[in-house]
Amino acid sequence: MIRVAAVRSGSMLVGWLVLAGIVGAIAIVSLGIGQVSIAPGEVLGALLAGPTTLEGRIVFDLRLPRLLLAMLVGAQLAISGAILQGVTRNALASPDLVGITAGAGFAAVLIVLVFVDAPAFVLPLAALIGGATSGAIVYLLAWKQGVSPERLALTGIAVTAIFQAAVTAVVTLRVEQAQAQQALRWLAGSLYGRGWDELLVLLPWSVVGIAGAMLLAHKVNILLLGDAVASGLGMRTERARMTLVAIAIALAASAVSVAGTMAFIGLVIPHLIRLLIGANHRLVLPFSALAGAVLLLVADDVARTVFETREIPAGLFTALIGAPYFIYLIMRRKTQISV
Amino acid sequence: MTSLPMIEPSAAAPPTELRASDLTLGYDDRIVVRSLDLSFPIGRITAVVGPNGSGKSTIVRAAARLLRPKSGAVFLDGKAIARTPTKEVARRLAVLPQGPSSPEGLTVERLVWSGRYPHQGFLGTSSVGDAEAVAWALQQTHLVDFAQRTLDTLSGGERQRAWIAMALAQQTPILILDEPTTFLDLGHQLEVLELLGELNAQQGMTVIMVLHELNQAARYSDHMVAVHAGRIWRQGTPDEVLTQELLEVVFGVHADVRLDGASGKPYCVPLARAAEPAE
Repeated sequence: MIRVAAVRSGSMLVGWLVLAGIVGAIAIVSLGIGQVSIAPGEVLGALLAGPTTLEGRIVFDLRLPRLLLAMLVGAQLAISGAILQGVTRNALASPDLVGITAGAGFAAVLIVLVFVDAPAFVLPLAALIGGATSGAIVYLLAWKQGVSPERLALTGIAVTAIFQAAVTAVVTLRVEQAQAQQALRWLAGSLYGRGWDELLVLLPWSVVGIAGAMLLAHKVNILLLGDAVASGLGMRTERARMTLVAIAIALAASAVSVAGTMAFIGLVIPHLIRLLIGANHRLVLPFSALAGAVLLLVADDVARTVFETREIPAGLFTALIGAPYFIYLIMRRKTQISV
Repeated sequence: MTSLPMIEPSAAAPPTELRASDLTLGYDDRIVVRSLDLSFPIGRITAVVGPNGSGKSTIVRAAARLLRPKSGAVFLDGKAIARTPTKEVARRLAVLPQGPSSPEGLTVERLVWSGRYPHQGFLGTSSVGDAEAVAWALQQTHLVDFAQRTLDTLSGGERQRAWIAMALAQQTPILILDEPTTFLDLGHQLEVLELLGELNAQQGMTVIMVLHELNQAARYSDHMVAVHAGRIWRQGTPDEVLTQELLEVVFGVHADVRLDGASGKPYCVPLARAAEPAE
């Protein structure tokens, strides 16, 4: 038994090293592509030498922070979705569908368009409060002796619709201002123009949120067994669920606050990972993080390089990849969707 | 974090007493059970029986602290269960609720590992003792060969054994089961009941179960508690409880009660529906 566990953790380590190598290679290539192409070898050289040459400055000042942001945002949305799907035992629970994204979006648009003079740190904070508020509203409205999949999805759709209408109203009323375009790009989900400043704002949330999620992942496994079983095992189920949902909200809302509303990552990635590796959330969470990071990294590469003169929002590509895959999942299933 | 004393998986856990005192139970405004006193014999199999809505599941849920009493208390070794840290209770009392739903893609081994939750620290780090307890639980439930199968690929009886294995991995002296045979066909019902009998005989485990089927309750228990309209109508050995009177008064059925020569236990043959049972 113990030997089996040792062999398993050994092969697990090899697996992680291989994955880390793949992600590293994608990252190096990503740092090289753009209006100025830099060969992978030169990227490595620039990373080691620092921002001394032109290539070095492009890699360091422009591409590296954006790459790290893409990976963190993708990872955070995917973890958030994995937690929400796990604790509500509902495959439809994701930051998009339970209202977190729309609430954060509304708050951010208010800051960008109405409170134009607010200092930079206010935007993520406002998005966080907006996301948390709308997430809590959906959760409470869906509550009736527990949160059923149908009620959560339906109240999520309703609350999302309200916030989206509010966003449209604000954008329409402020359309003459230059910020309107910024708001629209933000709503579509984009990392355009994001750099070290945004990364530093996001980083504390990432560190605390991701660490918290990984440390509590085993509690998701217990909650998946249902509240009665979990209580019987000695878990305080409401407290555990509240803590995990709070982490999920913080991860998603802070990600949305810097990158806008990136579609489908939080819904599709955890689903895909569970199909591939099973229901153990100690693995589902880290693998979802990795897959979310890679998906948004690649989507952002495409977004900033597919047209030479104009950049398109990365959120469009995550939607283009995510939506058909989601439809495929629904079609493939003969039974009711469940975790 | 305190480190826990290691328990030998096969060694019988110290006997633990479970007792309810002056319990009043209900849901929202509806009172189901009033001023109930009940203690479960240590090291025996107790079957709680009664018609639908009699409150038998409610009593067992309260005994397992899944339902908070409106008044009164449940005592585990003399200590009020509501004032004991819930993880500590879970190390002495395991409960399998009615019809637990199986998450998709969950393997038997992962499920059984969940049973170690109350023995693990805040971060859920596992020890050698955990692995031994899981191996022991799989072996007791004859599921070693099924460890890597997912629950949805198992038969109903195998799946129920897997849930019981999870409860066994908790290594508690008391095991409570709410209708463990529901949704199983006859063969699988007996498979589960025989397994519980083995655990009681070999490990000295106190087993408390809600059962619908009276003949199975009599056959597989040492002690029967008949619940009627939220009160204990009678309790005692199967001989004392499974009587014509029980069927007549509590279930509203005319029946013959006979003695099975092979097991020495009573069994009933229902004849006809009597008048509405007295409330």
